[in-house]
Amino acid sequence: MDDFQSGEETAFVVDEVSNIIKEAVEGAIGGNAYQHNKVNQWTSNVVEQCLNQLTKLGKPFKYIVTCVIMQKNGAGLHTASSCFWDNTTDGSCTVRWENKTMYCIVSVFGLAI
Amino acid sequence: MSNGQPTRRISQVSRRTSMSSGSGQGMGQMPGYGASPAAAHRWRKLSRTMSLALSMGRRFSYLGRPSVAGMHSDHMRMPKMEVKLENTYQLKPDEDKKYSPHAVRTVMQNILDSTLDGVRYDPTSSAIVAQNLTDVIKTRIKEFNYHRYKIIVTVYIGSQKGQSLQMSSRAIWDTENDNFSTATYTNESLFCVALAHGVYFE
Repeated sequence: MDDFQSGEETAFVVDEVSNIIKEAVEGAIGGNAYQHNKVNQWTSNVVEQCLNQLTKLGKPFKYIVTCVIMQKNGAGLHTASSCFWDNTTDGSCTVRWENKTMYCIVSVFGLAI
Repeated sequence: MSNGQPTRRISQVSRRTSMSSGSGQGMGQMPGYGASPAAAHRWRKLSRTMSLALSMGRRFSYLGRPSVAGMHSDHMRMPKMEVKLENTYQLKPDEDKKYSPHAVRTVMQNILDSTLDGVRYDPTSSAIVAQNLTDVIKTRIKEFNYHRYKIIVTVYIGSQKGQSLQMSSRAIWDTENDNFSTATYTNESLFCVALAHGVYFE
């Protein structure tokens, strides 16, 4: 019985996760310009904040968070992903954020237990 | 309970109703089941007890299936064969079937080296190359036959223009069974990072 009731809550909700990511990115690198010596710390902060908020959702999911910060240089970047999972329960969310000096791409994959 | 018994009962119920509607039908008119008089006699006896049960309401559920009649109802009433998997009671993968980051990394590196050797970065085609790479890598990882593992492959391809790039990744998972591997490839016009995660499905 419990499984049926919690079935609605244990699907990957993309909107919810994308909000969490946006807040985490804004909080970590909001108004900053690209600085090479700080990038390491920024990526770690973004990823950690994302994970903290995701675990607070309390859903039975395993999460994988990836963050890429790239300096704006006129260079191009392509991202592709291929996943072998259960389509009904698992999902992913990718958020692209940019300011004048850098791009930030965060991907979250949620896999149901 | 054998398939024969309930079927017989059902057909008897329907026979009884059809007989009562046309009163005076003799034994010879009973179709199909029990052509011999002895069988028919037995049938009549049974049907009487059936009717009693019906009136008492015990066999009421059978009234819901009146359309079934005749010997061919056997195969129609067989339940659908549902595939039921037994519990393996396994909580984690076997030792030799665990996701091996080293093996996957070797495979990924080979794929990157062979696919991107001499390729120049192109805004339109690099997207397709990235997608193809993820599919190829995922197929090759599946050949390892890691049972009950979910696989996520991500590929980043970018042009080399002297820009700086930082990539971090973190996960909440079971550290014993889940793992990841990375492979990178660079040439003068592009760089490529491939990332593969293997997550055990409990």
